[in-house]
Amino acid sequence: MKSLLYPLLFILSITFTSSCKKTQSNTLVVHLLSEPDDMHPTNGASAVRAEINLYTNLSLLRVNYKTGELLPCLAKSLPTVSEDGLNYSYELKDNMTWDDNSPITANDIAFTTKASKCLYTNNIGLKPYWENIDDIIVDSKNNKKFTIKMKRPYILNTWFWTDFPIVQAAFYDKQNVLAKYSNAQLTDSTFLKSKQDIKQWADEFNSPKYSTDTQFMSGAGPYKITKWDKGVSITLEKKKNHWSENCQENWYCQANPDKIILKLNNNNASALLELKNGLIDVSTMIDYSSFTELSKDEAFKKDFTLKLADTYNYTYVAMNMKPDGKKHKKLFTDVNVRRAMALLTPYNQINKTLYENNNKQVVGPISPNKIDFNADLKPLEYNVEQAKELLKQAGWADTDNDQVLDKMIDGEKTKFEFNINFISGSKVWEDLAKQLAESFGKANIYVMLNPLDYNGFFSSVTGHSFDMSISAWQSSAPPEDFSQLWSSASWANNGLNFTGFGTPQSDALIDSINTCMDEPKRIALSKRFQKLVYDEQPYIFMFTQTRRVIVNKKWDNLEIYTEYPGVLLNTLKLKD
Amino acid sequence: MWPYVLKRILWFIPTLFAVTLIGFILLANAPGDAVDSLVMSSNSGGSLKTTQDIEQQKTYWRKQLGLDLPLFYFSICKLSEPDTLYKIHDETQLEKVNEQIKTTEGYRNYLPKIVWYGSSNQYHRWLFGGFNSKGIIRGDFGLSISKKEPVIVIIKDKLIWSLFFSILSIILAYAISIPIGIKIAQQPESKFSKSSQFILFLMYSMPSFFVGVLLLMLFANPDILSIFPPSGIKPIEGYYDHASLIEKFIVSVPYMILPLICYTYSSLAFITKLTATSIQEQLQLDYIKTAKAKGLSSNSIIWKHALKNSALPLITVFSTVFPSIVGGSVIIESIFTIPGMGLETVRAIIAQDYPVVIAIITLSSILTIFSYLLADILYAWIDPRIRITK
Amino acid sequence: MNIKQSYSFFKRILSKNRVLKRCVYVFILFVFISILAPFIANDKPLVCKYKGLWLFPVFSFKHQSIVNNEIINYNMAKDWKTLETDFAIFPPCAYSPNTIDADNAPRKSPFDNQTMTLKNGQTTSLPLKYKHWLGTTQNGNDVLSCIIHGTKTSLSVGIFSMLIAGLIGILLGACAGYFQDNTIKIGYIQSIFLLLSLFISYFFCFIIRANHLSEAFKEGGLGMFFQILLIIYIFIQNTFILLKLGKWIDEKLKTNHRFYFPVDTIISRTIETLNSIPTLLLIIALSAISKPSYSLLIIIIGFLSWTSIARLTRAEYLKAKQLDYVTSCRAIGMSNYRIIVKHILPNVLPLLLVQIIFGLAGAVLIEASLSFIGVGVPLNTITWGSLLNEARDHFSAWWLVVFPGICVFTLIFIYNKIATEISKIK
Repeated sequence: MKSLLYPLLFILSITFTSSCKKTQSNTLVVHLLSEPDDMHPTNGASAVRAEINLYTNLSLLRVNYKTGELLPCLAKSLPTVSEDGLNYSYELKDNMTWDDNSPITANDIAFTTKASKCLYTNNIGLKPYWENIDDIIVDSKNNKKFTIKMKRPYILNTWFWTDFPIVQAAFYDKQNVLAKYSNAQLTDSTFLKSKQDIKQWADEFNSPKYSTDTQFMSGAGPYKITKWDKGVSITLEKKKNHWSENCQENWYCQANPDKIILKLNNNNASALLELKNGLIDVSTMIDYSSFTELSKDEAFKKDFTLKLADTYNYTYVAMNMKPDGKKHKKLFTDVNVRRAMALLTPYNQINKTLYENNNKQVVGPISPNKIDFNADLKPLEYNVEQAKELLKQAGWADTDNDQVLDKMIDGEKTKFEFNINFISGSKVWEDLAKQLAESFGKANIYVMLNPLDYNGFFSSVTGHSFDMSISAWQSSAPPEDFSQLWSSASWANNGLNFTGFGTPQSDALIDSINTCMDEPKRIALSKRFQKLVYDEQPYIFMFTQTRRVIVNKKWDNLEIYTEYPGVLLNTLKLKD
Repeated sequence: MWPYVLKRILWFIPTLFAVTLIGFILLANAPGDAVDSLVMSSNSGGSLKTTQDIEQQKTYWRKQLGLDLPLFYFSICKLSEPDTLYKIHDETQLEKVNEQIKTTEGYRNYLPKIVWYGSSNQYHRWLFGGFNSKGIIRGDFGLSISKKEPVIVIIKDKLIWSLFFSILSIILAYAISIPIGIKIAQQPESKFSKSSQFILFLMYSMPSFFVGVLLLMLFANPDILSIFPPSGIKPIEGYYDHASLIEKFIVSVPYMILPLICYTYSSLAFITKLTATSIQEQLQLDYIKTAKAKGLSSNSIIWKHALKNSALPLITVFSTVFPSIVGGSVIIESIFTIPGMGLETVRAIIAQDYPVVIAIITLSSILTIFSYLLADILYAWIDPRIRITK
Repeated sequence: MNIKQSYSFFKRILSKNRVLKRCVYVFILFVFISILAPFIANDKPLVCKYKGLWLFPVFSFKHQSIVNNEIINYNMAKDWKTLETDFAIFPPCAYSPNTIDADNAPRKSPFDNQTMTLKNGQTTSLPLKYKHWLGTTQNGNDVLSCIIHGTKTSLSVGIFSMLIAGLIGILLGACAGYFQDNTIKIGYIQSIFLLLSLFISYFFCFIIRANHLSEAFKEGGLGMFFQILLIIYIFIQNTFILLKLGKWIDEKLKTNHRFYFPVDTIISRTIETLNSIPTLLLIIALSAISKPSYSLLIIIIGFLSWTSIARLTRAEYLKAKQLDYVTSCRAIGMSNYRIIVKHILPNVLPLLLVQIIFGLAGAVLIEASLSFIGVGVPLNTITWGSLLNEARDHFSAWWLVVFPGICVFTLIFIYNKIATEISKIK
């Protein structure tokens, strides 16, 4: 046995020397909860991808994180808008170039638009966002100037550009195919059928190499993805000899860390250990109770800054207001029942057990952190007696004494039992569903938990095939467009209006909000709309989400924003 | 020797087929519509303008994935059903058609028939290749639904890590348990034998997830002992450029120790016991007694003679340990976040990415079959009698 | 071997071997805990006196009582503890596994200061009789209660799945070992009829009854088990009838061409194929196909882990077939069935029992592993594995690792120990 001891000692000595130490280089290591599905510049849509694009790409406009206003990025200034609110004229900055030092021109903007609007490209979920753009007219004399023609006036006509990175036409369309066709032609399916060259280009453009191979990723931002070790990490490196060098004026061109490593770890506990071991510099994803635990740890606080930051996101429990009546019973068609469910939700208990009392309760379809939030609406409180009363009014009673409420609906005795859907793999939502189930049980409502994978969940809610489902809404700084979540058209088209909320009045109100360019007036309308939703109670509105920002103190220049992603990694500076 | 080997290989072909068939049946019965997921899987999911666009996309993907083909070479179905029923993919439409057949056809609903589709079917395409597919015999396992990448690209690196761990842990298990087994065989009544046997038995009963979590809690936790890194398989910065294989290995050693302990400990008891009993058996035999009488040292007798002759059962163990280690990787890899097949399986199951799951199952089964084959051939090579009797 | 004989047999073994005796006692303790779980860990009091009326909430089949016009709902969870009863005896662990104790959430360790909120809103430290002895989970579930109720799941998954596996394994293994490839002879017509019977049974079970089947599997539970039994019955019945018919035709036609039916080859190949698929992976894939439920899990484990039992049975029957008593049985013309069941089986059963008990340990491990990674098990039930799963995200909650881990370990250990001790006796 002694012979075994020496190799063991040897191995241990290696580990003592090599583990738990991180090189003191200008490298920022960031905790990432999940990997982006793909990194395609225009086809992908995951949130992680959007965060990476902040550093690797530029877009026409960006968000000014400090003020929450628009910030010109590629554009010299905010656009000039025509009287009718349909034409937006931009001019591009001169100093910005692509990686091959060719200038960024209006043609690239036009190409990005065409590539996104073309029916052959694989971004079905994103196409509606581009719908409103009618055409882009490039100034014939100056290829830095162009006008965007919109189909209708809309509050997000300029904000829209903050979300989408501009891609290089010469890189993604070497044969210059799209330049030959107009936006109208590319969205005309009969016209497209005869055009083989577009099909060929689209097949190439959709091919996986542009979404996974780092060799085929190009952007104008100060960073470049140099390595994507699947399931392990994504490495961003600062570009050398880039125009953005020494640029400090705006956040989007800063590049302080030489390297940003996004380290994937979806296990909370081992991420926590990595943080404690000093292997991770930045994390905004650790769960609430671990954050509380860390913030009580004096030794840890010596090295790390811990801050809770607001976000615009909130969680909710959607109820199906317009079920088919066969597969899903008409349980929540009555507003009294929906209100009763909201009253049966143990808000304080959930906030304590799952969120360590950090989150604010939401009352309407907008986060309390936004300016147009209607503060007159009072948050509901847990009240079993009142809920029982409301259920009784709605005709629910336990007639057969089996501990489950029942009611005659359409001549059929229906029991008050249903499924709560949620996306599997999330412990918090599982716990939330369990707490709801237990609490509803107190009013003799029987609830089953139904975890689904992402696609299954998504098709169940958009297909209106659910009773109750837990989900979250991720919002951002721009003015809220209620049409996606609340218009009746969105319900009819299997959009994000899951519940079936919507009357002609509410639709008209949404329309007037969406076209109202006068900010105070829009806020007043928005508040009216919030009241409308509050009265109907299609959701059980739960809580705002709080970002748990943990940053190593060796990084300076930390500012925390409400807007996603909370911390701008490229602006962090290593302390000397 | 060679005829025997050939015979064994021929015998393995039907097993291989059966395994792929099981994999395919699972794939065909997987819940959810792959095409639906492919078309709808974008995280923002705004409202789609026209259902026509969706249908077009769906038809396109169906063709790309070969889902427009019949399932198998033949199908057993009702006499009343048309041969081309497989071409209907829309569930509501299918229900309607079925309802219609049921009401109009009468007795023909209760009679069977066999429809022959020939080689243009999903299984054939999956196995041997066809339109837009090379088939799993050429390493093409299709397209991952959630990542829209070829499955084999996703699995390749992960397979290497998993194989690396399983083979290393098997070697380690042998390296540790054979000396212990011999010690036990030499002095079965000694204190060492008794205590080591008991400890190994305790370890054998420990669930690996329990041990894994405990190890992490104890040895990667700054609050208690921070000796090993808590997750991953290499430093966060990755290997430095142009690192040789050995350098990479050395850098990764601290990351490998805890997972390797988890992989190895449970098979120790088994191999030790087997070594001990088979060596004890050998020690009773005449040739050992002769060797002893000749004055050879007891150590050299055991290591040179007895061990060689008791190698047979040890080889068979290899083929039983291997599949259990592959299965165990699901647990251990998800505890230590090792980017291997096990972790990928869990991810794919949660995302309902069935092509990946099935590819992993099929691939590891094929590997297991090859390990059986290898064990069989080794067996025959060491013990010539087997070639004749088996 | 009749009941009396086997009883005395076990008694003899137990008295001889003290280790075995202790292990069996621990096992019996587990069984008792699992049966008595509702009386050991429950949030309702066993007995209480409220406003002069005696109530027995745990034992009562009623859901509520009316005391002085006040409705007492028995399902009011932890409110029992704040109810002003004159007198109440709670079970030793005063929580049900699903009770959410928000005062002591998230995750209070056994040594933390546990509190409770009274009806008037005051917070006091938890009285000893309501203490969470093993801490709580994220949602404030009592760990001790979860462990006590989880015993049932662990035991029943193991025992029922091994019952299935044992039946299949012994049946197929005995057939393979006894008949081998050179005992059963069938005629050509008969063999055609055999294929035909498989075809018809397949058609009947999976095509005509497709809707029933898919519905039953979606629902899970006993319906699914019944469907599986029905399938097996249809197959056996059809095969039996058509084989007899084929034999009859063969006799009528006087076809003398008969060949050996390769029972052993078919079964051995099946075993080999199933063995080469990593069981845990296959179970994960299978259990995710249907809605997760324990009955499905039991069936899947049962139908996948019979191979080791079958292999052993086959080997034992092969050995037994060479022995004198079997040859003499056959010489006097005893039926094969009688030899297989009445004569060989009792002799090899103890050995098979060892294998089955090892299998029990394996099944427990599989169930706990699945709960640990949270795949293929229903969420509503808290088990030992799912407690450990909760600890995976929070290593600081050591009590969620140590206590359920020790339980899984103990159960597997006593299974393994019982098996090894029995095998030593032989």
